[in-house]
Amino acid sequence: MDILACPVCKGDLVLNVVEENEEEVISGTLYCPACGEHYPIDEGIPNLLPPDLRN
Amino acid sequence: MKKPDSTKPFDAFDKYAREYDAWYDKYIPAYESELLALKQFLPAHPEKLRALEIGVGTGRFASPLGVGYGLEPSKEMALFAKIRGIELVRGIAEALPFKPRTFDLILIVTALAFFTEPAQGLREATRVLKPGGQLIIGMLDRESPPGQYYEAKQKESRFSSNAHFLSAAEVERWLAGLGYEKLESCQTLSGIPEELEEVELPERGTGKGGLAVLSAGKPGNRTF
Repeated sequence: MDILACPVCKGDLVLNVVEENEEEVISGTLYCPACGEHYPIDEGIPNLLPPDLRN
Repeated sequence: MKKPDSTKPFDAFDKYAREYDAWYDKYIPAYESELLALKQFLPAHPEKLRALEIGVGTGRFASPLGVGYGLEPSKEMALFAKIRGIELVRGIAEALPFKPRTFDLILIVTALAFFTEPAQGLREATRVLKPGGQLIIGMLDRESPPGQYYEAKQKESRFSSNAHFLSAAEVERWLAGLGYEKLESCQTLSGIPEELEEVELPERGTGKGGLAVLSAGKPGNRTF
């Protein structure tokens, strides 16, 4: 988490946990306050694709 | 809303992840030769470093080589790599979702040909590499005889029809232009990988081997 940054502006991300276990965050979001963008965490994998390439 | 005609460069990898992964079980001497060439420049204990593979695919290189983090755009490929014990992030090389000066070691294996903008991908890799950090690139060398064979057959392949094969010399020039030092290279797979019967020992330099491995150091003092 401490090494992740917004792929667009490289700013800090704010973690919002929806589901987690002892090892990892399973689902939730990473929010970039500077871009106003929410990046999803799905099946334990943060999706930090630039927004235009996201499904 | 998803546009019906939207295709992404990595769509083929979502569709054929299992088939892609199976190649490495089918052509073991080629796979072992590739691992051996990459190990020529790999530090002794990558698992103790903060190491990233860009375009980690199904984790076939990061996992046996002890690389802890993987970046991969395709979800299906990323799920394979996660099962192999890699810490996964979905993203693209041209817009790395990492803070500057984060990694001691960055590995890019055969993925460079799939970057939409390889020069931008290398600039980003340089940004997230620590001063004194090491970049290792394993690539299909377009100027080698096996590289030319692959380039000729490219249109028939599900995976490489989107690839833009580069030459090792070209990538070495980019690395020098980005200020890298201690450039070294080796090569393996002098023939067609699928026809290889025994593991091939890597040789110095590039030009003959289908897989060229380049190692380069980012200037600065190692603090790790």
